[in-house]
Amino acid sequence: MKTFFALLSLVATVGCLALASTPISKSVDSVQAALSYEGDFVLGAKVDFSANSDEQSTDYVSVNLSDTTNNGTNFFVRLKNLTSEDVDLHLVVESVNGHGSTIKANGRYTLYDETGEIPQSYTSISGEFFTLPKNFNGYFSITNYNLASQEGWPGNEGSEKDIKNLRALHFGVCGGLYAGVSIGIGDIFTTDIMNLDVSSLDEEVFLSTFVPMNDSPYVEITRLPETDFDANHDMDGGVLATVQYMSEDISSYWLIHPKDNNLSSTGIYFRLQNGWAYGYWIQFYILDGNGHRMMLGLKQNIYQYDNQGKNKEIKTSREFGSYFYIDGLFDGFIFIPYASLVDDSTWSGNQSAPTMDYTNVYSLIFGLSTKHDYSAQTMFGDIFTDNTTVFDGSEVGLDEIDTYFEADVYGNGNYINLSRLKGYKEETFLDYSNVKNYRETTITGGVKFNVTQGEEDVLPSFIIDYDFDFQNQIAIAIRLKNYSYDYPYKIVVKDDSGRQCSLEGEILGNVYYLDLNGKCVANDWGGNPIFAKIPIGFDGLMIIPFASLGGGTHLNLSKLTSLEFFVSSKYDYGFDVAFGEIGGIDKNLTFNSLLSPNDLTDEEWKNIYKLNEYAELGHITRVEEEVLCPMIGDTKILNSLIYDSDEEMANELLTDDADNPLTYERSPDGLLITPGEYEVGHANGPYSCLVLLNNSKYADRTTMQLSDGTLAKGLTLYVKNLSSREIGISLGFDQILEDNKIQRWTLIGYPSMYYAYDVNVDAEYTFYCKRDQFQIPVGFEGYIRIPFSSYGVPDWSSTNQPLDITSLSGNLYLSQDNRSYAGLQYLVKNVGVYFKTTAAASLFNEENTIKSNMGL
Amino acid sequence: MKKYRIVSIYILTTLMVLSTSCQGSQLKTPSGINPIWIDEVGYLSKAATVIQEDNARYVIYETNEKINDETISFALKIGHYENDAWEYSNREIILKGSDSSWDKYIFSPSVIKGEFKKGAETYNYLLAYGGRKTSNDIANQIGIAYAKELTGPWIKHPEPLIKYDAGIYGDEYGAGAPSLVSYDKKGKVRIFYSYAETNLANERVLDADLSNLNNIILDKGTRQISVDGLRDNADMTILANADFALDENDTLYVVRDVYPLSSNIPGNATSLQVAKANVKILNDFVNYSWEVIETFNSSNTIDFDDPESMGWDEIYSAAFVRDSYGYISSTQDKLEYIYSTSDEPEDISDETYKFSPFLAIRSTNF
Repeated sequence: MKTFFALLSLVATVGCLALASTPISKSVDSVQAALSYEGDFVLGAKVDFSANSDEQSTDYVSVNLSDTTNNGTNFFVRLKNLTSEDVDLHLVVESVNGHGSTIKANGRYTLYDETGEIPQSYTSISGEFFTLPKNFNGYFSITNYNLASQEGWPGNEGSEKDIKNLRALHFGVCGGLYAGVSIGIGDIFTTDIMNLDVSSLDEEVFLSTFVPMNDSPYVEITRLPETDFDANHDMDGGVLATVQYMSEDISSYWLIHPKDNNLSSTGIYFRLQNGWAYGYWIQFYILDGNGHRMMLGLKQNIYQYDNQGKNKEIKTSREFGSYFYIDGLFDGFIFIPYASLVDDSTWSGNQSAPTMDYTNVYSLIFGLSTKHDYSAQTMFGDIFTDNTTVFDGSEVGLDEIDTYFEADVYGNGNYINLSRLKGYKEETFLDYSNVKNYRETTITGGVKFNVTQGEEDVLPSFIIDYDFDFQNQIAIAIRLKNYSYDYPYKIVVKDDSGRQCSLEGEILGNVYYLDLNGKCVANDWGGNPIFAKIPIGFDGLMIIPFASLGGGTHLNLSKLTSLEFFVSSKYDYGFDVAFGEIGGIDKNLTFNSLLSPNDLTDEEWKNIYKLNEYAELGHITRVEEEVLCPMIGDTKILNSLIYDSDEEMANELLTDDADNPLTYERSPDGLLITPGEYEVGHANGPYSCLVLLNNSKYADRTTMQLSDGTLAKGLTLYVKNLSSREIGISLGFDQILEDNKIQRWTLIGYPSMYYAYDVNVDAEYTFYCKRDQFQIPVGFEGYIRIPFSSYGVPDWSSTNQPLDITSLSGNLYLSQDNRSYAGLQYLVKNVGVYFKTTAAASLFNEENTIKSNMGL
Repeated sequence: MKKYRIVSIYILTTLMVLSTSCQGSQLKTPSGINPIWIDEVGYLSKAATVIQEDNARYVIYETNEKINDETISFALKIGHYENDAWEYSNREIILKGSDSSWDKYIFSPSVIKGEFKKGAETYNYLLAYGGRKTSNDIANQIGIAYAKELTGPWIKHPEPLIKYDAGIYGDEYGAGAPSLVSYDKKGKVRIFYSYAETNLANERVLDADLSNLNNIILDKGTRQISVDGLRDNADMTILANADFALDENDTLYVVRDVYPLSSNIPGNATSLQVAKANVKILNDFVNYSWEVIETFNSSNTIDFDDPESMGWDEIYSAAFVRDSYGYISSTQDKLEYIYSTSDEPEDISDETYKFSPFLAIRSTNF
């Protein structure tokens, strides 16, 4: 094609004339209507024309089309003038047959705005050139009728103009006149046909699509993002703005002060999210340093993009006030063009400062209604113009945010909570599983709050009305125990100034649950950012970082006056949670007690724990003293299996009629168990099983960790063989997996091992397991210890997750093979876990024996 | 095939001995192993216990006192290192089965040094052994004998130290294959032994205070020894028929039989495995496990210069070369162990294989 370029270079010197174009009329055409194409038409290439030493020379960029088919009538080109002045472009339309056409003298062309909806037609009086107005961003279109053969075009000899088969478009700039011109070129299309879809071009094809004609050194081509702006902006370190509820409908405002006051551009982009499922109107103003304020004009265009900067939609401002609309759960960009702003005639400052100065912007102003928008979660990420950064949260530290975001004290700003989103500069991440001094906390003397069913969807609450001093603390920590399902609850924290804060979901940070095993889990929000959920069976510390509360870091921490928990009586009745000691957690992750309910008199207790107006649905009672698992040396007894009544026994033990038979009876020394006769061919195999349920009277039964962090090392129980034969017993347990599935653990069998201590002989043993059982020798009476390393997941299990001792359900399974042991009775008691390393006693070893570890 | 060749040699040589007994003894002709000595045809050597003391090796082992006689006695051979090789003395029978007592048949000697009082006398050596009443390998028990010198005379303790009551547990293997390791270089001893009744064979350990043989103190409980870290070819790893040694760092070494099949009878091993662990593994099976040093099997006994060599069928009953207290010297750069090898019979009616066992030696880095 070298010949072609050489010939074209002749053309390039022909028409280097700057000719004014004149708008003549509006067209009813619509770019969108021109093509049934789903998606945006985008820019693809940025073409920079630099000064050519030959002032009469025109430099071209050639755009080669992917699909050469055309309807023969017209075509559209996505174009943007990136120069701050009008630019005249020379157009050559090259057909597949090599014929070159251009705009004929007095030919007409049409420019559409960015929406493709508003056309403006122009006449090129001398032809060949069309004019892109400064800052133009839209579409160029021309019809076949307005094209004529390009004089001097080398391919024209022997060929006819053929717009139905287009090979390339060539855009030229007269180097002498337009040094420093920059234009954006994108999609080229006609009805139903994308002649050039720049989004689909890989890098290699792009380079062969946009080409400097004649290898002109004055034409530089770079690829543009497929968006109208640089969409490489995020929410990191942004700010959540929420407004407190007020029955009175007032507007509450906050300000955003730009990093650089010079916001001179075409408008402002906001990376925004709405955490609320519903859309709402938000007020917007711009105030300059002289006091002039601009507001949105009525029904003016606002542009909305997804979070990739694509899928542009046009919204209009409200028909009154100065509002734009944010869709429910919106997550993307909003662009507010300055062209959509008008002087705020109600603003007194405009009298003394009558014109807006975008080079000296003081603040952007936003407002929400306290009555209607209290559930709105307006999250600001990066804010920017084409030329400058207004706010980039990832570059702003936690303590620097007040420089940018400010509740407007003159605009009811005391109802606004501004909170920091994750990802801010030098953000520190705390591992709350390392909290110290919390295992000594208790719920004894605290409050048990439960909610009964109500027909109305109201929120009964209980209030802890107490003057807390959380100064120097980073989180609220409450010892609690959940006796019910993981029902959602809402917490509201108030300070003495009347500021009240609630959880806003994981966008701010989480709520954590640190159990007594040292296992810390984040709240499972389940898509609800306001209501948190206490895990089922949780016993430990609930940790609420102030940063996780909307506006929590602006609370007067030296005087928090109340904590209030709300639960829906219509949907979440059955909520039953005990709240105990309350304290703060400092930066060193140390728990510092602030309210120990066990120390309160009943009178003091009543003055602190209260109900809201739905007292008939919410109920509070004082927590009696907890009964903790008894310890025998290093052994924690989970089930003593010694019962004072049948009722008590029935509450803790369970057999399954589907298994082989088993009888058990209580005795002062323990539980007497006798496997029944083996039912040959039993569907569930030869085993009988007694379930030791997690209903024990002991409050800390599921805790497998000591206060010093030591984890349990295995299971233990006391057994006495009351028969004349060896008896094999299996002791299994359950682990709760992350998806709440239950995974059973059973003894592996040989060569896994267990320890035994016969209290009568005063002898210790190590034995191999046989099958999935440990064996009680004839005459044996004493303690068995089975380390967790002797356990495995049975073959029949549908899961096979590694053992997590901190996630045991608390249920235990005593089973035996009725084929072998029918009628053989044994006694069992004190089923529990042990915490010390164990080594069997012998003549040469007295350390870490069962006897010494238990202090027997 | 090596096995056939050796068996055929045995058959041939046995026939020659039988038919030409007046013409002088014939020596076995092993290949692929490193025998510590070569027996005459019709004599066996196996299941040794070895002490190296003052540049001498004392090897006490099972043998038959009379040619082609299956009755096992314990013999002692003393080796001296001369001309880059150990030269062994003639054997001396040091212990025999009793005529009618619980130990009519004896096997698996293990010997250590110490201070063992019996009345007014103090004895320097203790020998533990397996014994039983019948020729069938059942209801084995473990007894001890004591002596002032390794050469004897050895005095048997009248009652078995570790008993097996066949009336309770049945006619199963019982307790055998003891291995002694001194605890204090005096009278306290760890007694390792194999045990099997209806369940899988396993290795156990008892701590014992034998300083006063009139007042023997044993652990009241028994400890089965963990097999964690050991590896067998069979489905289940069986630790049995093993010899143990300690070093000064409380590292416990084991050389053990490896069986092709899981069994409740120790025997028919086809390879050996050497492993080590902290001695605390004997009491704490959770925090300690074995680390395998080497596995020695039939393929390691192939003589590659002999095209018919297929290796020895049975490799078993090994014993460490230890000091007199059952310790591995800190000056040793290799572990040495003496093991037994023998062939399986090609024809079950052919009993000459019973006299095929050799004692051979192997060393390994550790």
